[in-house]
Amino acid sequence: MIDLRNIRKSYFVGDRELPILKGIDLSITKGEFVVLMGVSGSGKTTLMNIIGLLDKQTEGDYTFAGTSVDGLDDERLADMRNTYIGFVFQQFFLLPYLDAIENVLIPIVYSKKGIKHPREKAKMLLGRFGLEQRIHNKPSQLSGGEQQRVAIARALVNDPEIILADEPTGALDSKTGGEIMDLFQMLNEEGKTIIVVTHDPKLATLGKRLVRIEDGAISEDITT
Amino acid sequence: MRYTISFYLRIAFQNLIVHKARMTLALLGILFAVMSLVAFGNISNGMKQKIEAEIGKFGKNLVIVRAGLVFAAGRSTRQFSESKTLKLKDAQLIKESLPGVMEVVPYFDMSYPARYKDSSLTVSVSGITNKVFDIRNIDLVTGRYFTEQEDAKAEKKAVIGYKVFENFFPNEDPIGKNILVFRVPTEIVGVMQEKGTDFAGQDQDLQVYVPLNAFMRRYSNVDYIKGMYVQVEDGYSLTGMKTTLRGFIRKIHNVKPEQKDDFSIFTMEDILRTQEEGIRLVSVLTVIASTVSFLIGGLGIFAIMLLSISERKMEIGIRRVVGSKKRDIIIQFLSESVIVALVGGIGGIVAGFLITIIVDIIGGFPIVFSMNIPLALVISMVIGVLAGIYPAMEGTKYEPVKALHS
Repeated sequence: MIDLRNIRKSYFVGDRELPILKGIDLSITKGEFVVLMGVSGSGKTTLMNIIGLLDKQTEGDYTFAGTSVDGLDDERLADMRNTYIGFVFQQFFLLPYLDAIENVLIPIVYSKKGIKHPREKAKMLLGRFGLEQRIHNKPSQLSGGEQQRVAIARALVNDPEIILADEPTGALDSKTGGEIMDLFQMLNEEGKTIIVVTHDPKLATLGKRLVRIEDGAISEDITT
Repeated sequence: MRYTISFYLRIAFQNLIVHKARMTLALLGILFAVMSLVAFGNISNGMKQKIEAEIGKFGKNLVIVRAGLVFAAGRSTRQFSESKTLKLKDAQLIKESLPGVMEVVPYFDMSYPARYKDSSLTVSVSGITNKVFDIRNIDLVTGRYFTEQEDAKAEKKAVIGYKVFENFFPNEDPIGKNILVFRVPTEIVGVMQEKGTDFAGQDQDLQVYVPLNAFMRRYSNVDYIKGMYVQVEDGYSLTGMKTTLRGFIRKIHNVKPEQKDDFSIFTMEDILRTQEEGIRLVSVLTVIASTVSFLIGGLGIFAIMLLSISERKMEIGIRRVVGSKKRDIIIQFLSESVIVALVGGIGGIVAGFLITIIVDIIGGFPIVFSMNIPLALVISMVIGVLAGIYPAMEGTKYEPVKALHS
């Protein structure tokens, strides 16, 4: 599914090179539940952006779903994100003036999959996450945990194979965060590939595999 | 695709509602521009129709020749000098000699007191040939016109205006009754429909028409006429006919080249031209004003869209993340600016129509809705696109990750 070979990423400040990723080799296959752990500044977010086709490596090869993505243009990458990946973020990123169901439906607008009855599907997903009474609420009328569940429904509506979550529990209390992680576990059991990026050591054991990033390189990769 | 469009529209309207105050400010310019265009277009057409109606009321394709120098301007004519040189035979010569002349109606008019039983009234008496009823569109409420034979025999018959009838015969049938015009007993044969005031400020309803021959011999002993109506055939220009007539009359009057005319020629259109020029001037000013208004409106939308886009970086970021392309972002923001402009345009049309109705009622113009609504909407849309294109392009500059983390 995901195959990273010797990925390097540097930022340039003036003519000074600032290496962020220093040669990452990582393979993730379908159905895995991976926790990418690292402290702030370790390069884990940059790695997630590259995995999520939101950023490009400076060096190395990245094969995603059998396709080398190195030479792909913006449009093609946008299509691949839409088709294969569902994104979940720490700050939820729900549009404030749309209600829950409209937020869930955003990826459908750009989808080429021809999902049938998208509204019913969005409703079903929200119902599954215990939000059937909330589908016409605006984000400001929802709690943090509810907003994150709306965001997860949005990530799922277009049937992606991978869920990519960046600090999904970062803005939540530990109880709500635990519920969100349970949700990911359930989705993983249904066959979704889950990648959670976090700095929180408490989440380390929740996945089936732990990849630790330190100073731009993988320091540990254990399957539990 | 259908879902996509309805989604964009929904978002656009949501934004309009959420940001009522600023969106209203942004679309106000377009609203005023369209409003002034629509209102002026409608009102000026109403005015033109009123002028047309006045020309119609006076009689179509008429050139007026008057003895002496007459100055025609605005809604009145003013006599500068009298002249007794215009004769009945001039009228005959014009009708016989000039191509394009369909009819010539000579007349002599004068104010006289008229009396019936105990009441009296000052009326305008015109000695005229019976063709006048035809070329000046005079309809009767009762009775008949006097005839050519009655004119030839100089019989004292009269067709009277509606106010004359109302004054003298409130409960009586006027036909066959005699009124005294000046000192001449005159038999009433017909009553004209109410016509109102004509361009010269002459109350048509205080008019009394008598046969010209009778007038010249029996009412006022004269051998000259005051003027004539020349009816021009369709296809001949009135202006051309004025030039022809002037040359012809100067010739038969033996006016030397260095001498001034002893007559005046004008048309209804000459008199109403000042009004039409006024309308034209206002229309130029309106176009300028609404162009400026459109520009300001466009700038307003431009500014609001730029603001809106910088506020909605997160939205752009998340859309890009979940698969929107730059093109989609442009389409979305363009559709928003177009909708803002269209709402302004529709508001302007409604406001313009309200103003039209109010002004037409106050000014007594016929209410005409003639402004091209599709044109107003297209202009609004174009302004929306022009004002939105740069902000929308700016929106695509936010890369997804940076937009989310800023």
